[in-house]
Amino acid sequence: MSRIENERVCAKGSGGRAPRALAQYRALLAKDVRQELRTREMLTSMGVYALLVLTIYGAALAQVGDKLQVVSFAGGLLWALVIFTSLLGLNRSFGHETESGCLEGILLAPVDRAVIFLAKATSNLLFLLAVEVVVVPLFFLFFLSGAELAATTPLIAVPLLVGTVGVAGVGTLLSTMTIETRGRDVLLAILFIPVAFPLLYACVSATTCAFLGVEGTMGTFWTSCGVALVYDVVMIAAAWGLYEFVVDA
Amino acid sequence: MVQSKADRLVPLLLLLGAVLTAVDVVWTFTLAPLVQGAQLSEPVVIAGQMVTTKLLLSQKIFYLHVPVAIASFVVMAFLAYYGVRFLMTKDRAYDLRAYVAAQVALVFIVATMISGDLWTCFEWGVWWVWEPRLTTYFILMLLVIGYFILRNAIDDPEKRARFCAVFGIIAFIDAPISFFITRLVPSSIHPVVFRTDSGLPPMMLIPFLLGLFGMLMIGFALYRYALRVHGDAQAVEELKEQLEELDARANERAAAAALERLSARHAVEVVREAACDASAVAARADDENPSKED
Repeated sequence: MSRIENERVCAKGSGGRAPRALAQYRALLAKDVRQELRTREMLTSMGVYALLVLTIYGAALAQVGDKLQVVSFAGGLLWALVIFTSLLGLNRSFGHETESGCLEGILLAPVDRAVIFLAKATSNLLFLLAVEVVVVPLFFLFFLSGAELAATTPLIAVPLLVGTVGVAGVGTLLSTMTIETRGRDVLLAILFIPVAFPLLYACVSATTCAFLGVEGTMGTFWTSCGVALVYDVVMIAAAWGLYEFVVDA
Repeated sequence: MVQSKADRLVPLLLLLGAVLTAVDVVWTFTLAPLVQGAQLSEPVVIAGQMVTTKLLLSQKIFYLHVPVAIASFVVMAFLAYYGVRFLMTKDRAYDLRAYVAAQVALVFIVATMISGDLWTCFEWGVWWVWEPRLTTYFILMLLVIGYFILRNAIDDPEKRARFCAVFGIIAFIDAPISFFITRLVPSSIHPVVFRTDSGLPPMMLIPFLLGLFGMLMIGFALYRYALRVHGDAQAVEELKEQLEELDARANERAAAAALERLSARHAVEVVREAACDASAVAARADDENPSKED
């Protein structure tokens, strides 16, 4: 019922459908960003958590000595950090929505469900990227400050960006589902890690290629980025289409 | 409700599937030739690689492992299909079907993992490699397990059906990835099975197809059986609820009747008491003025 009404209301709207959806998207996104800037709940918890994961890496690698080249598996370490940190953030991102019936309020308003999904995914993406901007330099500082970096190292930004888009897209769908279940933190991990695995695999492959910068591996780099991009498109399209069924209570 | 006339054929189908699979296994070890007509007595060179007797025999897993794996992909497709049907119609029967399909899929996936691991151990000398096909298939197993955990974590049946349908569809996306990954990733060492240039001789193709059809039949029969069991369980559950409701209603009615009876009795007593009082008053009045009547 709500959908039909949505469309009617949207059609009546002054600027036609598309601009209206854009305005709704902007309003929802601004709400999330404003809330985060005031509470800084997600950003601080994710940032501190990432720092702790780095500390654990430090303990794990403390005894290997200086013969081991961290660069050869830095891609994997970096992505494990990103996945764990985003799991924490995604669990948090819907906490506000359920706390004082915010989600119900948004659903009552004549807003297309796809717009809600896009706004939420974008805000998650922004927060994840903000944390990465801080954490990735720290990772370099702690583990790669002595290593000789290849000239292609800056290219790790490409898989990081493509991968984070996918993580935010799939994670938004799954965290909307798990927020109302028993033991939601564990459940999100159980569902999210297998679903995001192909993306993780491709991104680790691309990041490692960029870190090592060996002649002739750039083909693999771009192929892996392409695979990650295809995953993004497929998963976000699926999540976009299915989101209506997840929030439609 | 779930049972139909066609269900009578299900035991037959299960039997036929088992027979076909058994024929496949027997054929595999008796009639099917070794790869490229090799002999078991000496090592041979196949595709530029020295292959020993042990490896030649391990190739036999192909006749069982591949049919089971394909059947698991087919059942996964049904899981996603019933998820889509549920989201389209909101008919709970489809949710039940998707759930049963997930159960059968898990059985086949575990069977594939076990048979595949045995082969990996013989052929590659290790139990597990993080190779693309193995990894994506392992992920498929985790996704199906996640499906059951998600199912158990939600109490509201309507919401459970919706979320599980959505997750089933998302989980299915991994199945084609797993199927095609040996073609997509050039570094994959898992053999590519389906191709037009394989040139499988009939003596190898026939047992393989027998195994494939046998497995599909077993899968379908298992699905129908599980569907019947779950359908019956659901029917029993519904009957139980109805019975409880009837029971509660009967109790309520009995309580109302008892209350009515009580209040009626109380009313009678009140009337009787009033009557007694009235007669007592009258008697007293008679006593007090006995002379008036005289």
